[in-house]
Amino acid sequence: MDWSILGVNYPYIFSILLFSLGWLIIFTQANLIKKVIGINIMESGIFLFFLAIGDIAGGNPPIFVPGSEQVYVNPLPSAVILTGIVVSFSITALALSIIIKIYHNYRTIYMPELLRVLE
Amino acid sequence: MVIEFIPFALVLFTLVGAFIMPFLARWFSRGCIPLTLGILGLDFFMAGNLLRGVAAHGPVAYYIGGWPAPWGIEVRGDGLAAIMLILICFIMFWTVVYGASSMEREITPGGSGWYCTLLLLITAGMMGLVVSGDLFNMYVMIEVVTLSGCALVLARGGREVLPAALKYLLLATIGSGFILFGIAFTYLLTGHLNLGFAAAELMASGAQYPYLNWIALTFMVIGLAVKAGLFPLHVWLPDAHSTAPSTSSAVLSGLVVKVYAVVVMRVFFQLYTAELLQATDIDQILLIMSIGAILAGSFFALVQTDLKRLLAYSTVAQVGYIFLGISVFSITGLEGAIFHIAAHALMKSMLFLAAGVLIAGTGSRYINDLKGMGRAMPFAGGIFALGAFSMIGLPLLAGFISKYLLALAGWETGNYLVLPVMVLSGLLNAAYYLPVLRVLFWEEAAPLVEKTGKERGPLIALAALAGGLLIMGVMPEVGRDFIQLAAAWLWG
Repeated sequence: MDWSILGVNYPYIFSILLFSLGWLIIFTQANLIKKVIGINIMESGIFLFFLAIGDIAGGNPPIFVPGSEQVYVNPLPSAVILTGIVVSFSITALALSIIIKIYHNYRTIYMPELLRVLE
Repeated sequence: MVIEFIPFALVLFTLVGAFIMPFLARWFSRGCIPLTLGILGLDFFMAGNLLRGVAAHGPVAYYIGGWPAPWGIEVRGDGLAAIMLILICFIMFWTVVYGASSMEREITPGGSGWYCTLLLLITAGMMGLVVSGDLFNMYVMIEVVTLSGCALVLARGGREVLPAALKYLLLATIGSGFILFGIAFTYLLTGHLNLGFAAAELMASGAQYPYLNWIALTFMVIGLAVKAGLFPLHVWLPDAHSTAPSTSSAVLSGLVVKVYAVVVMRVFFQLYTAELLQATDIDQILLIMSIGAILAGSFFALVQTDLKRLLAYSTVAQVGYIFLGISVFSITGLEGAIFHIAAHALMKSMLFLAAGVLIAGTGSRYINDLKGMGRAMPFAGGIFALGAFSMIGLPLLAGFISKYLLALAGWETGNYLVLPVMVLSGLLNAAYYLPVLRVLFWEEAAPLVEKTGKERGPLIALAALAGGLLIMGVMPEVGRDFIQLAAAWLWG
C-alpha cells in the first residue's frame, strides 16, 4: 500500500478522529453539558469530512468567470454543510434547554446523581 | 391536480399549516384543532388520489424548482411512498381526533396550539422522509422528525419526561451523526446525492471498493437502527415512548420508528442492490439483530408492571419483525415488512390510545391499578383486547397475516429459523398481553377517578382505527395487490 496518500488525505483522518472523539465524549462524560459539547465535536468531524470531499487541489472558489479555464472546488458539500450546521445548532439549543430544565427540577447536571435521584 | 406534484404539495402544505398554527394559537386558540384536522383530512384526500394515480399509471417523480435530477432534489411518489403517506395521514388524523378532548388534560396547560404545530411538523417530516429521493434531503427530514418527536415527548411538562427526552435526543443525535457520515461516504464513493444516480454509479464501479461500500452501509444502518429502536440499540425507546402523553406515544410508536425502516428499504434496494448487499453479509447481521429484537423485546415486556412501558417494549419486538422482513432479501419479505408496517402502525397507535383512555380513568399507569377497567369502560377495553389479539396473531386479524407473510418469506429464502421464531414470538406476545387482559376484565373494579370514558371523540377515533385493522385482517386482498406491486417496484 502506498502510505504517502495519507499525507495528502490527512483531513479524512482528522475528521474520523474528531467523530470518534465526539461520541466517546457523549458516552463517557458524566456532565450533561460536556455531552452536548461532544455532540458538537462529532458533527464538526462530519462537516470536515464533507468539506474535504469537495476540495480540489489548486481549485478556485466556484464563481464562474466567462472566458477563463479555471478549476473550481465542488460547491455542493459546502452548501450541504451549511444546512448541517443549522441542524446541529438546533439540536444543541434543544439539548441545552432540556438540561436547564433538568437542573431546575433535579438540581444536578451530573448523570450518576441524576440516575440516583430517579431511583 | 397533477399527480407528480402531490407528494411535494403534501409536505409543503402541511409545513405551511405548522407555521400558521402558533399565530392562530395566540389570537384564536379554539381554531387550532379544527384547522389541524382540516389540513390532515385534505392530506388524506390528496394521498388517496396519489395512491389511485400510482396504482393506475406507475411511480411518479417530481423535481423541485424544475431542475432535473443530478442538480435538483427529486421527490418520489412510488408505491411505498403512497402507502406510507396514506397511513401517516390516516393515523395522524384519528390521533388528533382522539387528542381534541384529552390534549388539554395531558400536556402543559395552554399548549395545545403549539402541540398542534408539533404534530403537523412531525407529519410533514415523516411525509418528506418517505417521498424523498435524495440522500441529504432524507437527512434533513430525519432531523425534523427527531427534533419534533423529542418535543412531543417533552409536551407533557412535569419532571419525569426530562431525562427520557434528553436520552432520546442524545442517542438520536449519535444516530443521525452516523447516518450523515454514511451519506458522506456514499457521496465520496459516487459523487451523487440523488438515489437513482448514486445507485447507477455504485452499479458501475461499486464492486471495486468493497471496503468503502461496507463502511458507508454500516454507518447508515447503525444510524437508522438507533433511530428505529432496533435491538440492541433500543435503549432510549421504552423511556421516551412510555413517559410521553398518549397521543405522542401513539404517533412515536405507531409511525415514527417505521419511517426509518422505510429509509432502510430505500437505502438497501434503491441505492445498493441485492448483489452488492449480499457481498457484505449485512443481511445475516440484520437477521440476527431482528431475531434478537423479537425475543428480547418480548422477554423485557413480560416483566413490566407499567402498561405503557409494556407497550413500548412490545414496539421493540415489532420493529424486529419489520427488519426481519427486510433482511431476508426477497420480494415476499419486503411485502411482509410493508404489510407489518401498516398493521403495526394501526395496532400500536390503537393500543396506546386505548391505554390512554384506561389510564385516564384511574390516573395510574400501573397494570395492577387498572383492575376491572375493561368492564368499567367496555368500549376502550374491548378495543385494547382487539389490539392485543392482533398482536398475538389470531387469524382474521392483521397481525396474523404479517406473521404468515414473514414466515413464508423466511421459508422461501431458506431461513428456516424464521418460522419457529414467529411461533415463539406469538406465544410470548400471548404471555404478556393475556395477563393484562385478565386484570382488565376479570378482576374486581375500583371506583373511577373521573368520567373520562364518556367523551365521544376518543371513542370515535378508536373505532376508526379498529375498523382499519379489521379491514386489513378480514380482507387483506384489498391492500395486498398494491403492497405486492410496491414491493416489486422497490425491488427494482
